[in-house]
Amino acid sequence: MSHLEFVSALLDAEKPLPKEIISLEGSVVSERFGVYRNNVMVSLIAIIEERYPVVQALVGHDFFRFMARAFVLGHPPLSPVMNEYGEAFSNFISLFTPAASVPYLSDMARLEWSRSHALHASDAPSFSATKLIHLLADPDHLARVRLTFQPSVVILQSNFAIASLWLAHQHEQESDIRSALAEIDPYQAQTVLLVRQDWLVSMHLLNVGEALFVLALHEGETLQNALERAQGENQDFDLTPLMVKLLEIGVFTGPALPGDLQTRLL
Amino acid sequence: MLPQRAGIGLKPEHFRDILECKPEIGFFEIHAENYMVAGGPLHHFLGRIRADYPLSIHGVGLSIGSEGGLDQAHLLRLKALLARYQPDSFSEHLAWSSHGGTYFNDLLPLSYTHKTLDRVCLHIDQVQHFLNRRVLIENPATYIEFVDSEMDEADFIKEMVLRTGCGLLLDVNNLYVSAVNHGRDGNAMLEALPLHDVGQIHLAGYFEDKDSDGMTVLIDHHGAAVSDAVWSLYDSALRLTGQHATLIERDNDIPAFEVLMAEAQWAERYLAGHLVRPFLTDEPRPL
Repeated sequence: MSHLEFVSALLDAEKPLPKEIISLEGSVVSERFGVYRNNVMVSLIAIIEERYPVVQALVGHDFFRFMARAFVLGHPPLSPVMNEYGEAFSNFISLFTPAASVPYLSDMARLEWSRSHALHASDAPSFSATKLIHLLADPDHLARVRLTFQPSVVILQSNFAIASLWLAHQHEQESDIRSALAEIDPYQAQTVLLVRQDWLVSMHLLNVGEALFVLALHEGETLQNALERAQGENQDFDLTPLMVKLLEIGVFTGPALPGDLQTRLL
Repeated sequence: MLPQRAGIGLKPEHFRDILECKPEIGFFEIHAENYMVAGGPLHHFLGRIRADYPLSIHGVGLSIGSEGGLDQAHLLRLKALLARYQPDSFSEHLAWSSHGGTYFNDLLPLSYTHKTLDRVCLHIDQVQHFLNRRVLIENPATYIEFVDSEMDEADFIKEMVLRTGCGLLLDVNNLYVSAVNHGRDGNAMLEALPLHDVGQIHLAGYFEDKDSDGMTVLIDHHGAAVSDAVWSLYDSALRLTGQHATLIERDNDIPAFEVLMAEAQWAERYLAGHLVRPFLTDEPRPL
């Protein structure tokens, strides 16, 4: 029996059945083979459904299944590690014309994928605030200190209010979801920072200045340069409360320091 | 080796309950692929639970029956996972699930030819050598068969066990599902298997469906309680094999932990009824 012939018929119900298959006398062989067709499609759609619950809520169950089915056919898994399956869904949605009437759908998929990434990312100890305060006691160090981020940190920028929309869908009651959605302007751009804390993913909205600062640090800029970028946008940008918050939620794993500062930190 | 007791499939929704209540259970089993992630809660909780309980790791994605070679990257991931958790048992399936780089997320059936047997045995040899341990291979639940098969499933499995030295993970639900789907006698199928080499037993629920012409077809969906027919076949199996670690497998429609515990306790009552292991190693093999 050729596996190639088997899998061709597996993904495409229009293709003829593999020639060598038989089933119990009196049974319908196409229906018996159909169990495999069904297992493959249903289980893969279920994985996409489980990973993208808010995308599903935004478009409804039937449309989601139609879209997920098209995705599975075009992008079947390349590895048996199902936690890695479905990353391309967001890009797929952005090109899937039947979904074009929900312009933020692709970004919502990106947010949901990022949440899953953050949940399963590598573990690393967080950097303590006291060490950073000690380091920054000398203002000259601002220009020399860079910070490294937790592997779970994801910073997402969207032209849409994806975080607010996502949060609205966390209500249990349909009526609560509706009233939360009524308060949201979906066309308001949002920047979101995700980080895993206590084995759960937490989500934090960043305003324009905060987003510029954090993105600059994430790109590997020094604290000084990141600060200047944020202040360029907003002259009243206040570093202290933001740093307190970032340290509190455990965003950093440590400073990347020039050698002389490393010894000072010990 | 796993204790000769009942165990339950470990599910993330039960992590905290297990750590809090420390239930009296023989072992837990995980699907290897579900824990192939870098870090986070899955490893945190599994590590803590592993410290308190025996563990079985059950692979679903190695595709031992593949026409192509084994996926080396996947073997490496498996090796790392086994090194990390040191399970008491590692098992895989007599099936294939990948072809040409695509993974189909289902256990697909094999034709039982000499050519397939050579390939399956080569792959099992490679897996056992690479992982440096004996693996248990599970008998499949199937819906179709192949005209080119040259032997029946039991003979294929017997030869596979003999050639590679692997063990048999006796899935009683799969056996029953296949027996009904192919119109065979489940007890006869059971007796034809190399029961001396059973290393673990799986029990699960199936979904009963009808073909358009009214014929019954059983789907192995792991989404229901173990059926009476499967309990009865399990009882027959234990009479022949003696006590073996027995897993209550549930992957869909997962109920409250207590419901799974009750099924595991039921399995332990069957186990207690078969205290004497009939095949002693110094006895001639009964097969």
